[in-house]
Amino acid sequence: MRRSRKKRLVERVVTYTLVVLLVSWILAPYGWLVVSSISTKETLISRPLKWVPERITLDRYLEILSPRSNNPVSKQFQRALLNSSIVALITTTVTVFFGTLSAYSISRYRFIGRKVLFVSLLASQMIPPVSLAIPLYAMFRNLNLIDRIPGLIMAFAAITLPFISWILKNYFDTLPTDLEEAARIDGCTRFQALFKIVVPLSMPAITAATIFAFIASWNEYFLALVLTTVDAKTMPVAVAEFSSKYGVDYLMISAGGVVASLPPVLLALIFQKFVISGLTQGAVKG
Amino acid sequence: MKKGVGRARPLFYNHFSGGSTVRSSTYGFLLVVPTIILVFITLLYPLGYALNMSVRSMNLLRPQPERFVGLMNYVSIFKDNEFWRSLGRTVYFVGFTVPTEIFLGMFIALLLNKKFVGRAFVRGLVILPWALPTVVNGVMWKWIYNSNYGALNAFLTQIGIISDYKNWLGSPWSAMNSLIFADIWKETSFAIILILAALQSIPKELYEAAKIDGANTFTIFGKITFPLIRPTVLVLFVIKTIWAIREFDLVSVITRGGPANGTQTIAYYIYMKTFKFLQFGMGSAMAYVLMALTMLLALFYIKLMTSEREV
Repeated sequence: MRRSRKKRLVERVVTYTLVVLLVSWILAPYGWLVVSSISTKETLISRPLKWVPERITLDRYLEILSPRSNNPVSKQFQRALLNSSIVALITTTVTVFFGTLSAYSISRYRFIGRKVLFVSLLASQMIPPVSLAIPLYAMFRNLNLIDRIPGLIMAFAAITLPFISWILKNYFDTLPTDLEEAARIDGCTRFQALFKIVVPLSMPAITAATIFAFIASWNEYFLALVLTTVDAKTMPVAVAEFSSKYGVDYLMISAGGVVASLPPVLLALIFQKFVISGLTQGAVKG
Repeated sequence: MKKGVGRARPLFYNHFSGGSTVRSSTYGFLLVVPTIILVFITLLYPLGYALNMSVRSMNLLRPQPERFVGLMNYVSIFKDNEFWRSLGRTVYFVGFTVPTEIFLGMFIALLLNKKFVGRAFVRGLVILPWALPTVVNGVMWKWIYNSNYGALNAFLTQIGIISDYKNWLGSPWSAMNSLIFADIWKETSFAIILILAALQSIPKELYEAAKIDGANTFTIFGKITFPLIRPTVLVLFVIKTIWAIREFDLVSVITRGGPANGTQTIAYYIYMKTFKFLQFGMGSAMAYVLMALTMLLALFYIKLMTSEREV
């Protein structure tokens, strides 16, 4: 009896030690980015490094976000923030709407080319972004879509839509068709059956899909880098460029990085239940 | 493919859902038209366009018109040493990150499946690295690795592991390993989330029965836990490999392929070839080779998985 109690105590000590290690492993790098963004330069370049800032300052955030700031970098940042918000919001709306339609169709109907479509949605996930970026750049150059928001939205929607359709299709598959059938018998049109019965029942999956689409398009870097030059730059492109141009100004870079990461990080933390179930639905069933 | 295969669907299989009386193929087709159009304009057409570019000599630097060169671009890939070196570096990157992330992810998921105070909080926290934009992950680690003021140097000297500040990104090998470390920090999250979900779906009765039978921790893991999370682990291998092959963001932000091309991955090399040296024909051909390699690998994995399922 005593031995087993001792064993359990050891097990608990080990568990809690590992948990503390895990939490520090996750929080330390990001925490350091946040601390760097509110520290003064003197503390940051001190040796030995002081981990806790003596004085907290929000100057970089004010400089980055203030509309009255004359710093050209701040202007670029604000533009990029606006671009990213527009691109992410529109891409999300478009992909979730069309994704719902196509996922429902693939889940419920049989039509010619259904299997081909289904397989190509899956296969599209294997295309390396660089294989798309090269022809898209050449095409967009001819169509005058380079460095323009509509071009970015098209490209982002194309890479996001397959995964969104996939998550939703897997969810629709788990819903019984009885309710739609009853609704149809009661005189609902097919469209009403989808939007009045299936969509409300699928809110968890649709929420997950929405969060995904937003995070994916907000975080997308490679395509945005290739398809923008000046005006349509998104946050990730601005942050990356910023760090290569002003490589010495770590305080500004840290603040910029924190600003760029807040929307996806907060969304993911707030809607974590949906994110987890969406990931599981999308990946494991796929 | 039979109809009505039931609710529990195997992977990459059964494209038919349970029966429905509302079966209008025209209506079903109409619903997917927008998706088909978008996928056609932005996926299929570009791929065809790239195929056409890959058999031409397209150098945007030179004024002469695009010339048909047949398979010349593909042939010259074989003579391009840097292409193969970049591919080799990518294999090193994939070979280290993917197994480490999955192994670490499994270990952490097992930990988070135990009972402890604050478990919900820690489980939520695990999502943070996953949600972080890769670019921010890049600038964050670049700052941590900084040779003069970086937190890594400060931490390691303060606890006495190193005596002098080191230039982590200064040599090819060390820079590559620094990238791998940064990738592992962020990408392990995904493995944890999926494996934890798989662990939670294992019925508790199985463990209770095993305990009554006197099985120890290792036997339980080997006989119950692992076989049940195995499909998830295999899927993770597929997805993570496909993602890791395209590694671009961290290279672009932290090292720009340097020093001495030591961290130039294949995606970064193709990007440079195409968008910096403006060899669009050559770049397209390389991108096709990369895509073919990815597909082959994926097919191989999927074969492996389906054959295993039938056992």
